[in-house]
Amino acid sequence: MNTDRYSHLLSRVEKPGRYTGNEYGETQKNLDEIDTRMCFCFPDTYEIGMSNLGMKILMGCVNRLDGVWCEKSFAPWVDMEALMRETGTKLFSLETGDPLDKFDIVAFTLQYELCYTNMVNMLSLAEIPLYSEDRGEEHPLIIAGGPCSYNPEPVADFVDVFSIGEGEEAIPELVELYRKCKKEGKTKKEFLYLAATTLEGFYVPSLYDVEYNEDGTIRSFTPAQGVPAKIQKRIIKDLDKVYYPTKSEIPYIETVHDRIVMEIFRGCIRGCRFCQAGMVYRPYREKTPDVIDACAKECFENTGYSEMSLSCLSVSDYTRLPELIDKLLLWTDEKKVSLSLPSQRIDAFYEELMEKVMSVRKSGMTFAPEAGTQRLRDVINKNITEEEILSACRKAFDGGRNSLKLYFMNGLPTETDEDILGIANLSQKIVDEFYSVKRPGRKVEVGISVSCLVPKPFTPFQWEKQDTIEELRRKQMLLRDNIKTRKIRYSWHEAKVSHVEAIFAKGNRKLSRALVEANKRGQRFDGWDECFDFEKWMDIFASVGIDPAFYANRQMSYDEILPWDHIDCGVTKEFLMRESEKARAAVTTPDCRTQCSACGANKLGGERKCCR
Amino acid sequence: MLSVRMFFSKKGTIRYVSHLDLSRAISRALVRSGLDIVYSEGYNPHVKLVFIQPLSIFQESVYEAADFRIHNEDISFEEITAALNRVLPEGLEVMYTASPVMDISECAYATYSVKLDTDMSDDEIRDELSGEMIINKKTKSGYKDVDISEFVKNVSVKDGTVEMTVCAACNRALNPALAVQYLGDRVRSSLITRTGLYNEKMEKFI
Repeated sequence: MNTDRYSHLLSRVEKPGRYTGNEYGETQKNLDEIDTRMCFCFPDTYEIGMSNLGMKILMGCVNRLDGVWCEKSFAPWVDMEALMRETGTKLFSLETGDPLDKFDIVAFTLQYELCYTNMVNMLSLAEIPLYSEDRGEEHPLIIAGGPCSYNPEPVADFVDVFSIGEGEEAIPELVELYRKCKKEGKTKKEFLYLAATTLEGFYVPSLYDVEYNEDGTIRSFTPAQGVPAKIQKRIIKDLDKVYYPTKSEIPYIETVHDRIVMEIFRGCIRGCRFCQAGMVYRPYREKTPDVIDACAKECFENTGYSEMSLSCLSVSDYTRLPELIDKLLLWTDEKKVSLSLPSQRIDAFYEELMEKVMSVRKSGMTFAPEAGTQRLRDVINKNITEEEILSACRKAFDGGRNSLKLYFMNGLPTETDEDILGIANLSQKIVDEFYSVKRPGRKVEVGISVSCLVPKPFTPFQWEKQDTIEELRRKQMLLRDNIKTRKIRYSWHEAKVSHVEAIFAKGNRKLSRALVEANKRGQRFDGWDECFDFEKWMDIFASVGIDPAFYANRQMSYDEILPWDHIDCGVTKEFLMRESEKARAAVTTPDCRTQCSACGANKLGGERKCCR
Repeated sequence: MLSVRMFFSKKGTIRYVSHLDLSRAISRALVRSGLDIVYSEGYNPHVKLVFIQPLSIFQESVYEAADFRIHNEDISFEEITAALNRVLPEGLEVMYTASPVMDISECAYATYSVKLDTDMSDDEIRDELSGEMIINKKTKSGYKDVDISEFVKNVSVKDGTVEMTVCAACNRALNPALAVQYLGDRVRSSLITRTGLYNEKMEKFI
């Protein structure tokens, strides 16, 4: 009932359920028994944030601590934000409804670069000073984590401390240190120094000094006395033993992933060269089927969800998949729970498995060849042949499917017009494959969706420049003009959005000025078409003296100090360089199970499946 | 199979949950309850749950009714009620469950208590709510002037709270929020609570 105090706003907004909290399963605690209050913030809408597994895991980890209460908050949609600003309402948590500036710790998860403006806007809506250096003892500690913290620099000026890597153990350690320091009357500065020097996996930006060369590149990145020069990411060594949320709150309003999500492994054995997740989540570690099955059952009994999806980067890589599926099907069929298996890999084995699982519900089929020619697929290390793609499509068609969706990318290094036309050719071959046999009364629809490469830190493509917007546009139109049939439905990603994403992905600390300026000008929800404003962004960059091309369209050299060089995600720079060179030569690298390529992630330890 | 009619209340912040979302929330609660719920047949099985009369968002109720069926016939209604209350979200409470007596189509009227925050006197409110009440209502084919008074059976006002009886049949129902809308800007805010469901003869819907 705590958010009821906002009823005068709630009756005037679209989807008030975004702001009321009070979901079934919500964690409520007695404030009298709480010494440390944390608010976990997801810088996007409620529907997106509530679908995030990491948020559920970390909130659960913190709420297991007695005396600590972790609440949640999301970016209010623009209608609510307008009302909040009009009425002078500060951003509040959904459990107690208390404004964020009353909390001890405000934590942000940074899932994608385009949510940075939402993070800044949430601080501003809570009337918390944006820059760390402007905040005193009376303000909450601002912490952040998530995939974007592998290059924390664009938001480093706003965040007191970043958690690098997996947080199940790290975040409770940080919270405990905070409590200890609070009890002992230590200052925030003292606490931060202790976090950086006595805990593992924490990056305190204020303890590092950056100097720049005249050309804008980094000259030096110097840690304060006693502070580690490199921050090694944390991992969970045994996934079978780690906490997993089985009693999370169930949203009332429909969210993006409104279902049970069961994580089955972390890491990836594939090594696609554009993929950040495939690198930064290494080493590859699995949960065992028994643990997953028991956990899934518990989730079902606690939630009543009728859908469950397995979560991982590529489901068919799980070594004990048939065993797991058989176990799950023993009860999911009877309980009318449908299983879905997300995968970006094409292989026949997967399709057979789908047939088995689809006894309850049939979902769409998607493949991700990523590039149109074999040469370019070799460049990006997508180890899949045209014959394999066609054979998987044939199986899908024979199995009764009339439509499928394919994902491709434009702007990959070494890409030529021939590679672009290759996308059209491959799609046409898939259509022809459908009509190579008589399929009476059936029509095929092949959807192809083409995104633009955003070179990401900790990938072999991290040094690469992104194609200019004009070049990406030209490629998009070239492909459009070469699709000759209406059986192929072509959609492409807006290059302007990818351009801004690239700037922040490879950004340095100077970008914080742009984010503050963007906030002043009311920019937020950049990941949403209706809010993204390219002209405004270019204006913002110009006004704070930032050249977008320096970040997005400049080829970096191997010896340049990268803004994220002080982060150690396990995979070594030498490995990334080797991979980058192999990409140039269109030479593939086998997956980790076939052969260890010495990426370096094995030094992190853990129950690894394939490192040597 | 056992047909069950559950009578429940909806109070507090859960009033911000729309009918569709509420229906999903209750379906999940039915699954959690461990009762052997009857599902629909077909390719996409779902819990069969039928609401007697949907309640609009922003409104509370002390008398809601919904029907479902369970396979197990050897269970008492007290046990069913208890099983449901163990797993329902805060703000929803099952008062009791019973075998349905009336057919859904017999539901004809609903009573509401509408608490107004307004500078209008009780007499003014009463005057406004008697006689013709033309409002501009959004319909499938654009906006249309409708006289909602023909859906209002009875109105009384005391201390700024309106007690009203309005049509609540499946093909002929009035959302009391429209009556509040008719009162115009002098109403700063309102809290609408449904207090009962009735048949044509104004007998409690059971």
